[in-house]
Amino acid sequence: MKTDADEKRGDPAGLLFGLGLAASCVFVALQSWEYGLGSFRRMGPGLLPFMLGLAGILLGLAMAWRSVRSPLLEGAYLPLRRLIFIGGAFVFFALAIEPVGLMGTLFCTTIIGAFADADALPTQTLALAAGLTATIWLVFVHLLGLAIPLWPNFL
Amino acid sequence: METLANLGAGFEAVLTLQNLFYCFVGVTMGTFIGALPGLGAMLGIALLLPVTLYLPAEASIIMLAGIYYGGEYGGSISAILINVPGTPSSTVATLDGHQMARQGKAAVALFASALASFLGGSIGIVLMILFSPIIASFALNFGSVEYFAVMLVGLLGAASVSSGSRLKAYVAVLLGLLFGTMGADISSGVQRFTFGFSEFISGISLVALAMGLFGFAEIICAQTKIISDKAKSHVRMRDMIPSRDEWRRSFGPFWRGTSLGALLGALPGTGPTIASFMAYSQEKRLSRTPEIFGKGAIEGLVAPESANNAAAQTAFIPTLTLGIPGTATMALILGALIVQGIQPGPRMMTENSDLFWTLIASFWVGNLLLLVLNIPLVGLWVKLVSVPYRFLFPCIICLICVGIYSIELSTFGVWVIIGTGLLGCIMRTVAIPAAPLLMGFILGPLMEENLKRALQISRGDFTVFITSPISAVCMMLVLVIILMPLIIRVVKRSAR
Repeated sequence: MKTDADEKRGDPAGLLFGLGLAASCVFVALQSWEYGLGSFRRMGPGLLPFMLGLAGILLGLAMAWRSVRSPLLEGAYLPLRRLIFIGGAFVFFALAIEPVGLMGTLFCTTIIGAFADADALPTQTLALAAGLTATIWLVFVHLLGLAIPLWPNFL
Repeated sequence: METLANLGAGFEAVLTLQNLFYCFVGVTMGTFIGALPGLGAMLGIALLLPVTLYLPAEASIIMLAGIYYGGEYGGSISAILINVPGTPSSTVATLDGHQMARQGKAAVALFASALASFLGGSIGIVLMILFSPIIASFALNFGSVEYFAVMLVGLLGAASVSSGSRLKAYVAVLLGLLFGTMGADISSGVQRFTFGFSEFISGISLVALAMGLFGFAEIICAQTKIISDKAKSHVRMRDMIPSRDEWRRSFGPFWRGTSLGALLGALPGTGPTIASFMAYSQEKRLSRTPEIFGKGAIEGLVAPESANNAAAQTAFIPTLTLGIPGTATMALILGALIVQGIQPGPRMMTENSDLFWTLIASFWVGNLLLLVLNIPLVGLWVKLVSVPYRFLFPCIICLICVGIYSIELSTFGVWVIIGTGLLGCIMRTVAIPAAPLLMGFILGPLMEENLKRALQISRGDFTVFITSPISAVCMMLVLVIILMPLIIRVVKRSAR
């Protein structure tokens, strides 16, 4: 049962986003001031971002104001499992590619990414990792001639 | 006559082995990614952007465009067979298309959809051939004032027709404009919002931004459904031909859908998705038997399918002739052209006319390839669509990472993707659309340049935006776009 109290509870994510946007835009406006506004006749580098910053403060506050009064947003949620594994795969790639080289990094990135789906099976995932690593090597290194180190640099 | 000669030269350029190959890769990948529910042409284009840096401008744009219109075909396949639209613009095809499939007429529905798409697309191409040179020569007289005004209409128009809250769409535009200001200012060299990273001096990379918003965020937040068990792949060729009655009933809806789609495609903001929805409701309203709609009426499939493909083609008119994209996908293709050193706009028609005509010819070749790919190979697509996401996600992740890393051989791009991707996820949880952000990002720097130049020439006098007739019309449109919903709300409230 939805009651009146639930309806009026507001949308905390929207409120936070609106306030966050307004706060960042205060920073944008202050920073743009330092870049130099110039005049309309000769626009300085800061003029447009300064205006955008002002507009952003207004839009952010408007969004925050509206979310206080709006009902809770249905269906908008962040799938945590996917965020952790997919985000983790990207972070792993960024950290590993230079020390570990392309082959090992891709192999492990694939395995981490596969577990974003709860049904991932170990054997299938290993086969996928091997196949994908080989395919990307074929396309990017062999065909496009990309100069990425393939193996760990301590070997 | 000159047009025909140009077009002939265009076909000659496309029918080389290399360009045919890239066209084929583009439309195949477009069909595949379009057929996958939750993943759209944007992701496909973002994935292939780094690869295009290795290719000549011609080949890369042929391939990217192929993904775009190929996605329109692919989306319909999953809409008809498994009742899950592969792309937003094929949502309407689930209504009658899937009903036809349930009544055992899947083959007819697929054939009708592919043929309507092909013919609608072809008419869109013809319109593009006829109107692009006219619009381009008209736009040659555009100065900075007019450019700024037209871009402003395009940007606000695109934001205001997107579904959901207008306020949130404007927030997205604003974020895009802010991202666009990052990097060194062109005239003064002042480094804006680089946060001390030398990589940001040339601005935040379009490829990284697109991959973050439409790759990283999309695979995390995509509404993935388990579809493997529902797929019906036994579609026989000989069941495909519609009956004489079905041909007759499709004729009117086809023409009306195509006209509506062609018109809406060329306008800013209203892309294939809106065209397909409007074409469907138009047919339902005009029909003498509106009660059969939603129960497998071929009219309800042909009209939106021809509309969205006509719109997909005419959307290139403003992008190529004015340099002003109407939708985010077009903005991405525009960005890809700029990366290749080609500035789309009226001068492109004279300076790079070869490229323009080759691209047009490739549309036709691509649409023909799609017809061939779709009708006999439909079973294969259905099998491919049932590939589980636990296989797809890692492939997309690895392609994004290797793609961005390959551009500068630095991990900086990967971190930018993670950052913009997280922003994309947050935006999705508060229902802020990502497409207007990309529009703002691409149009922002162009608008700033033109505004700066316009005000410099007018010595800081803003009245130039009203004294130029083209700009004055645009400014009125801007006012209408911004004020209309407010006025409607006030009127509604006072009526109550």
